[in-house]
Amino acid sequence: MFETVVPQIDPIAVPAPVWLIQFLLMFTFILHLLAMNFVLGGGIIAAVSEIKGRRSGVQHHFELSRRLSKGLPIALAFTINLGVPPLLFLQVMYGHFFYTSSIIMAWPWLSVILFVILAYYGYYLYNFRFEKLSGTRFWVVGGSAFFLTIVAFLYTNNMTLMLTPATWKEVYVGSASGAFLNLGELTLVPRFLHFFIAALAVGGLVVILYGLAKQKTEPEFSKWAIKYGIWWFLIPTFTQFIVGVIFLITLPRDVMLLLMGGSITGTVFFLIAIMGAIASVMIFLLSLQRDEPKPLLYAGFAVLLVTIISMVFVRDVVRSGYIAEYFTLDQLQVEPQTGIILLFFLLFIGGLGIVGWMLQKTTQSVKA
Amino acid sequence: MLNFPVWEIPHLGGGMLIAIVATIHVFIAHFAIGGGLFLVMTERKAYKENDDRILDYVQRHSRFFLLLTLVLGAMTGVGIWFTIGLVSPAATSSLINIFVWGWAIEWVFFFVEIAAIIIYFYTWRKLQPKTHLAIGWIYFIAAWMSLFVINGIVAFMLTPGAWVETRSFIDGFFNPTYWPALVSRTLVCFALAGIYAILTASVFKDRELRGKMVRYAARWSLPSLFLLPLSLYWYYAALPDVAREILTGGLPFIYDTAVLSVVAGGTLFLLVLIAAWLFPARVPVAYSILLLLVGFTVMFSAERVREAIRKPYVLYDYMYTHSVLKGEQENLREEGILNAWGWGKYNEVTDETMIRAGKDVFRAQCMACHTIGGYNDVLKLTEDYTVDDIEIIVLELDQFRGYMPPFAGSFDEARAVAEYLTQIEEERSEELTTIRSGR
Repeated sequence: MFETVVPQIDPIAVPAPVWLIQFLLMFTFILHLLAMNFVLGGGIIAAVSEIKGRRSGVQHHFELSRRLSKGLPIALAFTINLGVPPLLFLQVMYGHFFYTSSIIMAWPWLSVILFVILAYYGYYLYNFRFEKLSGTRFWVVGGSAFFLTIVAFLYTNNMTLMLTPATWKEVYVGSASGAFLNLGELTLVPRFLHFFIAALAVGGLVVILYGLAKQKTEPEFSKWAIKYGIWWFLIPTFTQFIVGVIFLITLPRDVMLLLMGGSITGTVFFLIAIMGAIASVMIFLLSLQRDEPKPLLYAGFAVLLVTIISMVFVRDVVRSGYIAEYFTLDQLQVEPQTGIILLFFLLFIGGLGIVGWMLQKTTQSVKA
Repeated sequence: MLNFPVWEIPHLGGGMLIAIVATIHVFIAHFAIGGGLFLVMTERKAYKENDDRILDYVQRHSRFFLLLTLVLGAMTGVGIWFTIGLVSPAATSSLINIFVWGWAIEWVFFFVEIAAIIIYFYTWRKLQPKTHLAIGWIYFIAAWMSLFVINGIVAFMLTPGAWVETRSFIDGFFNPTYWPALVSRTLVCFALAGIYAILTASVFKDRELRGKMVRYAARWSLPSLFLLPLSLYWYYAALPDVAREILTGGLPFIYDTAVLSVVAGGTLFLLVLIAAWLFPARVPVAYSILLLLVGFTVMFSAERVREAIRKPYVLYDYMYTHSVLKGEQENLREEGILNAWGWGKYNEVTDETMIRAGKDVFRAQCMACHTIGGYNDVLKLTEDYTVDDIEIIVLELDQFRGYMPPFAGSFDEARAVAEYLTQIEEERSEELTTIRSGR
C-alpha cells in the first residue's frame, strides 16, 4: 500500500470568488446535460424507431427519425460547446484532482475526442443522406449513439476516478502509460447507468416537444409522438428508481449519509429531486389519459427541470463529500479580476443578444 | 512544484503528441476564420455579378466548410485542450488560473460562432441576401475574435513579458509577441482560405468557372503569403534572446525545422502562383491536395519551432519544461525530487532502490521531453558516456545545454538516474547482441 498523493494546489490564485465559479459550473453543466441528453437519448430513440418502423410499418416512426436526424448534429454542436465551460470551471477548482485522474487513464480519456468525431460524422451522414441510406440508417444512427455511450462511460470513469485519490498511486507506480480504467470502482456501473437512463428519459421529452410543436399542423402525428415520447420517459424513469437506489447504497457510507441529514443542502435537494421524479412520473401518467394533455405536459417539464437542477446540486455535495478529507474549496486562494469578469458578462449578454437576433431573423423568414 | 504524475507516451513523447494534435487543429481552425470571410466576400461577389454559378459554388463550399470546421475543427480544439492537460498538467493549470476569464470569453465567441455558422448554412436562399450576409459577417467576426483571445494565451507561454513581475492579466495577455503573432496568424487564415477554396473549386466540371474561381482564390493566398515573412520578422524581433539563439542555429534540429518552414512557405507561394497563372481552369484535384500538404508542412514546422524555442521553459521565465518553477530548483536539490514529487515507488535512493528510483527520477525530470528509444531518445544522447559522466552532466545540465532546464533533484538522485540510464543502455545492447548472434 502506498500513501495517498494529491498534487499541490496551484500557487496562482483563482481569479474570481469561488461561489461565482461554482455557480457558473453548475449553470453551464445543467445546459450541457440537457443538450447531451438530447444527443444521446435522441440518437437511441431514433435508432430504435428505425427498427420499430420497419417491424410495425407505422410511418410515424420514420417521420420521427427523420425529424430527429435534423436535430442531432446541431444538438451535438451545442453539447460540445456547452461542455467547455463546466470543464473549464471544474479545472479551476478541482484541477489537482482532475488532471491526475485524467493522466492515469490518459489513452481512454483522449479517445473521447475520437469517439465524438466518429459519432458526429455519423449523425451528419444520417442527416444529409437520410433518404439514400434507407436500410442502413439504423446502423449509422445506432453506431453514433453507441460511440456516444462509450464517451459517457469514459466520462463516468474519469469523474469517479478523480474522486478516489487513494487508488491513484498504486496504479501509477505500476504503469505510467495511462491505460487504466476505473473498473474496480463500486459506483462506476450504477453511476453510468443513472446518467445513461436519464438521457433516454430526457430524449423522450424531446419527442413530446416535437409532438406538441406539430399539434396544429399534423394532429395525428402529434398525438402519436406525444404518447410515444411519454413512454420513452416513463419506462426509463421506472428503471431509474431501481438504479438510483443501487447507486445510492454503493456510495461510501459517509457520502451517502450527507444526503440523509448529514448535509442540509444535500438532504434538501435530494428530497426535492426524489419527490420531483415521483411527481413527474405521476403527471406524465395522468397526461396519457387526457385529450388535451398540453398543460399537464408543461407542468411535467417544469417539475422535471427542478429535479434535474436539484440532482446537479446533489452531485456537487457528493463530489465535495468524497474528497473532503483531502481538499475543501476554502483552501483556494482568491484574487478576483473584477474588470475582466465584468467584461465576460457583458460579452456573454451581448453574445446571447446576437444569437437571439439571428434566430429571430430566421424564424421570421420561415414563417413568411 | 505542481507535483502531477507524468504520462509516459512510448515512441512519440508528449511534445510530439501535442504538436500532432495542435497542427491538425490550427490547420483547420485558421481556415475556419479566413474561410469565414471568404464565404461572405464570395457570396457578395455572386450577388454583385448576379452570377448564380458562383452562389452555387459558395453554397457547396459552405457544406465542406461546415463539416470540416464544425466537427473536426471544434473537436481537435477540445482535443488540444485534453492533450495539454495530460502532457503538461502543471502548465495547463497555471494557464487556466491566470486566464480563466480569457478562456470564458473565448467560449462566448465560440458559442456565437457555431450558432452563426449553423444558421448561415441552413438558411441559404431562404433569407434576404442582406440578412444572410450579415449572419456570415457575424460568424467571421466571432471566429476572428476567438483568435484574438486565444492568441494572447498562446503567445503568453513564450513571452509573458511584464506578467512575471506584475501578475496582471492585461500584461500577460498583451505580451511582447501578441501583435506580431496576431498579424501573422491572421495572414495565415487568409492564405489557407484561398488554398482550401482552390480545392473545392478544382472539382468543377465547368472549366470557365473553375479558372475564374481558382484565380479568385489565389488572390486570397498570394498577398497573405507574400506579407507573412514581414510579420514573422516582426515576431522574431520580439523574441527573448535565448529563443532567437535557438532559432538561428543554437539547436541545429530546430534551425532545420525553421528552414523547412520557410522553404515550404516559399514553395507554396510559387505553386499557387503557377497554378493561377498558367493553368487555372485545369487545376487537378491532386494539385490542390498537394497545396494543402505543403501548407500543412508550413504549419507543422512553424508551430513545432514556436514550441521548441520556448525551452528550457514551458511558461517562459516562470515554469521549466519539467514543471519545476523557476528558482525552486535550489530547494529541490536539498529536498530531493522524489520527496517533492511523491509519485515514485521509493522516496529515497539506496543501493537497493537505486535503479527503480532512477526510473522515477527520469519520469519526474526528463520524460516531459525525452523518450526511451523514440523521439528525442535519451539513450542516443547518453550511450557514449560512462555513469560518472552522465551524473556530472545531469547535475550541470543547464550549463552544458542552455536549452535544458536545471536538474531539480539531489546528488543521490542524479546518481540514480545515471545508473538507470546506463543499465537500460546495457540491457538494450545485450538484446541487440542476442538478436545478432541468434541470426
